[in-house]
Amino acid sequence: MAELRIAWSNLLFRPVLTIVAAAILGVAVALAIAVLLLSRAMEDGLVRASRPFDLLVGAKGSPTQLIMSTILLQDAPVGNIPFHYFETLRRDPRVAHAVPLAMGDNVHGFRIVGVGPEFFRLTDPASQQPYFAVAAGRACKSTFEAVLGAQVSAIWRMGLHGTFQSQHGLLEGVPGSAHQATYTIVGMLKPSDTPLDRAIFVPLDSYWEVHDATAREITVAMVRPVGIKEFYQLYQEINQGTVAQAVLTGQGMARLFDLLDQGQAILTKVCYLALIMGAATVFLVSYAVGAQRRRETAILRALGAGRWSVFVIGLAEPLITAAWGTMLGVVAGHVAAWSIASRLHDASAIAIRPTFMVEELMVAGAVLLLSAAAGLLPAIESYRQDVATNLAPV
Amino acid sequence: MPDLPSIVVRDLVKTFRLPGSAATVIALDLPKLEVKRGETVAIIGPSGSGKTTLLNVIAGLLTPSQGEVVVNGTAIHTLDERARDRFRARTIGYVFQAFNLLPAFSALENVRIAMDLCHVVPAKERQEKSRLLLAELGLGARMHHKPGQLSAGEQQRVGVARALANAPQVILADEPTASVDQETREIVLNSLLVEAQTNGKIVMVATHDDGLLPRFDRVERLRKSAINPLMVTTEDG
Repeated sequence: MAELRIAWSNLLFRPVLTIVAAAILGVAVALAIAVLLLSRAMEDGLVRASRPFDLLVGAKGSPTQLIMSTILLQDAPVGNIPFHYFETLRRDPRVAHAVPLAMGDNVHGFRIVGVGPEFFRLTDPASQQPYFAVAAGRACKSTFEAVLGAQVSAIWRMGLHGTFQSQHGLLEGVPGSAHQATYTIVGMLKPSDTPLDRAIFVPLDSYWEVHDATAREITVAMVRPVGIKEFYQLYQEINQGTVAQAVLTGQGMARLFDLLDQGQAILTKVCYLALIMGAATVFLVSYAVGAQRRRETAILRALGAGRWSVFVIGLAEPLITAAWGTMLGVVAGHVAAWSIASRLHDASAIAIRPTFMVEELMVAGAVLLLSAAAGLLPAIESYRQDVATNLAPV
Repeated sequence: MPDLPSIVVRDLVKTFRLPGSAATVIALDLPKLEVKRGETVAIIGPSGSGKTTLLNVIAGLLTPSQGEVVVNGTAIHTLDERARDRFRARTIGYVFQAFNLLPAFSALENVRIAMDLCHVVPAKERQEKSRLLLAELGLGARMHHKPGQLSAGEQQRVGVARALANAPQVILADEPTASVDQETREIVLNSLLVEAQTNGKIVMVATHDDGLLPRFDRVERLRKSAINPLMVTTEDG
């Protein structure tokens, strides 16, 4: 089609303007795509990370802090609960299984989590696959044995039979915080796509021993009730008591998503603004070449091109620019999303996997529509312009 | 029917409204003009006498304010704009003083686009025809250059090739030799006149160059008048 070829060549003839317009549009699209992909992937990643935790039972305090410290390994734990309280809970017939976790130590910034032996037998009800499967060696059984989470073994480069000493607290290298006992690594876990990949697991006994604890305590219990009815009964009973709080992981995550959505809403507005600015650039570029366009349009009309032909050419130029910007933006958006996801994974061990979304087509469609709108006025001017006047020698 | 007139102009008046005013000026007032097939006509007259306006009306780029213009049997003053576009594409070849080439395209593409837009020449023949036309005008080695890389004379030769691309029955040229060197002047003029002699086309050239006039069959002089602002007289070429 001659009109498209003419529009294409016109754009190539003014490469700087075309590239600037496409690049600005591309940045706007990349921003929109990256926000879209990351927000969805982040939610998916958090849902995946919270799968092993049905009901969390921990010390009274902030439910969000309990979720953040247990599932995301962020923030300090709320406090401890007596181990006998946990044992009572475990024996409750409404509980399918309960796993104790004790937190509060670290080595090189990796959190050390004291766990009961049930921890390594936790399975996904859907796939029946263990959440925390051993990749090398075995699960820890005896005092001062340790198993490394998948990311710890990759980052720390510590192998089986390696030894280390833990430090009290969650911060690395605080003077005078080192414990005397030495742990020996007996196993390494497969990736679980949860932040626990950045943790080191030790038997609960070891945890109590290094702290020389007179009263045995745990930080949190992962509880799976036998059914939905029991789930809500336990939730209500525990929260009515004075010792502990129960947090529905799904409800807590929903609250977290609400917080994320607020941030996403602001980013979305920034994206809209960027897209409008991109379209405005296309509009300005269309007008910047106005004098040249008027002459070219007059020449084409004198050669026999109809009004619709020059209208199509006038509209095709911003649309082709927008198509280039959109393609550039989609690719850049995916690259940026993957790059950010990779950094977030390194920092949090949450598996964030941005994948193609149907909404991307909507972004592309919106960009093309905006650009068409931006190019409409110059195209109409081409359609309506007087031919003879613009053919005269300058 | 070589002696039947192919361009007939009767009582043609073209007025323009002054910008920002209700007043109008008469740009062209031509009681009669007839041009036969195969005839070459030079249109002369002082600046502002309506030479370009006359060519633009015959090309269908401007509509007459009054009067009749019939070209090859088509009363173009009765046509709507779409029909005039089609008429222009099939019937008219136009050479401009300012060349008016498309800057984004090579010489070859400039010629070819004229054919692509008009669909008169079959698609598979357009590229080869563009090459032949440019080669005949001495641009065989320059056909892939863009207008900005060509001299004024070369650009005008591309303009001539483009005007001939769709084999139009009427070739209009507005000061085609005003901006070119002597050699190009001859090439351009010969290329246009030979179309009339060998292919029976009408060639109308608006010019200020008195040296060209003996080469035409007829000279039409447009003249301003104090009483009647514009009038036409006929001289033998």
